[in-house]
Amino acid sequence: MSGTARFDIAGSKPVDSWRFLNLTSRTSGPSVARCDHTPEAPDLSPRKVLLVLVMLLTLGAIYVIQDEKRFPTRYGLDIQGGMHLVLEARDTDTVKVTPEVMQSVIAVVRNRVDATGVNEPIIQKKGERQVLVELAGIKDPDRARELLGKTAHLTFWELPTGMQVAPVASGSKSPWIKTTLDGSMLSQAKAEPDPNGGGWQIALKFNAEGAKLFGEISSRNVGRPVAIRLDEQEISAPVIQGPILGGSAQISGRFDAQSAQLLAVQLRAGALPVPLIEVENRTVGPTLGQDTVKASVRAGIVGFLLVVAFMLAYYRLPGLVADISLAVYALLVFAIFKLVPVTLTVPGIAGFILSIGMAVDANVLIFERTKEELKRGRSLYAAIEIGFKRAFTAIFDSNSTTLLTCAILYVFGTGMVRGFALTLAIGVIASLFTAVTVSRALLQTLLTSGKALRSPVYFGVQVSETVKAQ
Amino acid sequence: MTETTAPVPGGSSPIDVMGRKALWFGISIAYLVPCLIAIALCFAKFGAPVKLGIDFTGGTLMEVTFDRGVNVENVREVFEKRDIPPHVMASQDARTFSIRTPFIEKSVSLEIKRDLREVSSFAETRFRLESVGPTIGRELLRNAAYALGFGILGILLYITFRYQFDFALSAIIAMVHDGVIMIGTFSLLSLLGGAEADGLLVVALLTIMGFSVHDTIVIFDRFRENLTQAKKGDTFGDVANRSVNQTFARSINTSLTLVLTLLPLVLFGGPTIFHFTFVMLVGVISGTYSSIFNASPILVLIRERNRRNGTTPQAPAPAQA
Repeated sequence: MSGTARFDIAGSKPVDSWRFLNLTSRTSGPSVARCDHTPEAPDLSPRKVLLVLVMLLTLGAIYVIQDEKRFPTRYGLDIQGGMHLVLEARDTDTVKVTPEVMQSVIAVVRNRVDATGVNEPIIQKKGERQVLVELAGIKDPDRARELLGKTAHLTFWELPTGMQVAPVASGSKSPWIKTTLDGSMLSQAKAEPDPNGGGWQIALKFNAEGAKLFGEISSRNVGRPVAIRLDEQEISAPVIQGPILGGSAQISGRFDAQSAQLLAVQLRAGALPVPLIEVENRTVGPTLGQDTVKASVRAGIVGFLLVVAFMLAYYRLPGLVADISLAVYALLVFAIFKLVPVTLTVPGIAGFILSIGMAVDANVLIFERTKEELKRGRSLYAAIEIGFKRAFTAIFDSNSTTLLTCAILYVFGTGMVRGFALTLAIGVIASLFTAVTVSRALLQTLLTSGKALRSPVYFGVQVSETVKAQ
Repeated sequence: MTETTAPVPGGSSPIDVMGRKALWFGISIAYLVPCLIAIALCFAKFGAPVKLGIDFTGGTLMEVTFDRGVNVENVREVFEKRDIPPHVMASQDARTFSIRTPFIEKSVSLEIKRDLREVSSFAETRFRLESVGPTIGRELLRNAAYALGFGILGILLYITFRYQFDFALSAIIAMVHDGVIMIGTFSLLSLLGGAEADGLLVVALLTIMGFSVHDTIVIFDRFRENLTQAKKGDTFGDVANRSVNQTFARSINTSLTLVLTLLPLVLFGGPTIFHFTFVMLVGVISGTYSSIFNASPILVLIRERNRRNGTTPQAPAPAQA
């Protein structure tokens, strides 16, 4: 640290600071005196424990940050590229969009998304009739768009005569033959407990036309499978046990409640098809997003360094402490982002950078108060104690309003707005810890161990500015 | 230095915040008037206080960087032959195009992309599409209005609970002042540079409104403390003046650290977040000013009026957190 240089500028001597210290023991209360007499005593004070804890936390944070494998940074679509789209289900003449229909719609969308092979897709119901889909890093967005917006189509397939079992993973083209039976003839599909055993089964009911067709299909396929496909994907291929002529069929097998429910939902999606209209689409190529991130990260580092320099220049020793706290803050917050995980978007990064500026505010408040108390002639320790104590209500109230704003943004926002609110809120909470608890422990430890540092000069206060003891 | 003098950096005499209310309000008005004019002009021109982007109005924006320079007319033609009016912006080297149109539905949008490929090749990674249906835009606008409304209400309740109603009212007036200045500044950008508001503007507005109140509360917290220690003969204005001066250095320094983080974002953050960060920068400066020079004088005005009307002012409940 630039300790000696500071001395020369201010022109004060260590003796001066000792005068202040001596003043302390005479005028200050017990809480302050406690800090005074401990420098040589074996120190297992809560403060030491806290410092060790902070150090461990920081090391933990560094570990989390460097381990991209286990704790990957999750980037938003605007950064890593990908497609965000919102599909809206529309009523048809025969089908109204109900929560049950939406369940099927989502099952259909999930089915199709799985077919695109995208890792960790996000599929969420949004509002009453919308589905939000996010496909990160998708290679062929156009194909996915075409696929996802289609109306669900359920078809029944049989094997050519003579073939008993569907060939497993044959390289050649599928032997399955499409029948004329389709989802529009299926009037009901529901999961129910299997009356003959402990498991579950799916009960199907066809309309008159479907019953007739299914009767014919089942009659000529006894002992052989009939495949059911939703869109292009096979969802079930039960083996026909005997001709089913009444229009009611059961699919049984090794179903539990969940898998039976899923299949029933998929079947219903084909039975009650509703058109899916794309109402929002945001597709970003990864190159574009990365340019922006590089720019904002560079801007963030510049901003961080400027703040660090300013704090050091203006508040001297406590400024250094604030800077260390700020570094701890940045590391902790970034580690939290990776652990939660928070999806980092461009505005989210901007929110994080902004929170660095806000995190310093608590320290500015405390140190301004400390300086003020020093100028009033209080001892260093008393001034610091009062600085932290008095500033706390202001810090608490002001940060509460910021958190309130974050909560409101989170509730009413979507996507990017939410990301921003979440990053800012995490930042505010973490800053309360680092700016108040961490910087206090650091400052006290520095002053306890380094006697030469106990001068108001290091707090940006000229000795001539202080009031002599009355 | 005595207790009543302020730690103003470099200055020895305190700023007479309460005595020169007219000057401080005048400065605010001097900036508010052009803002309001800009907002009015925007209303006349775009039907909204700022030019609304596709996030709010619905529409489609395509951004593409071709592998080589192409003729603007060829790009325009792709849209015009389908009777879609494109608003095209091209980069200097005629490779990067940004095309804004009314909402284009999916099948047409896919066809257009295929046609653009025929104009010239481009990498999939250099294509950006933003397509927002009109219903989504209305939803966003409604949510933004809710967020603003609940934000103001929540803050009003919080300060009333922690302080008093007139504290809350003064803080909210200062906050609305900052909101108008930010919107007005954006209106100016809309009028001069065609800036379009997106969801991020709402974020910027709410964040800065939160910051503005945050900043005001720090000063009010000092009010609260000083009111309990007020000497006999101190008027509310005296206490207010002392409080503002005592917190002055902090207000300036905090806003300075925010400016230090925002300025690089504005300068080097890239075009995607330029308007977002710029409006926040303006908001930080306005928020700091309004906390010192608007919120506190307004509170003093309210208190002085109440006293004339015979209502006794009370000190807010002692602080506890």
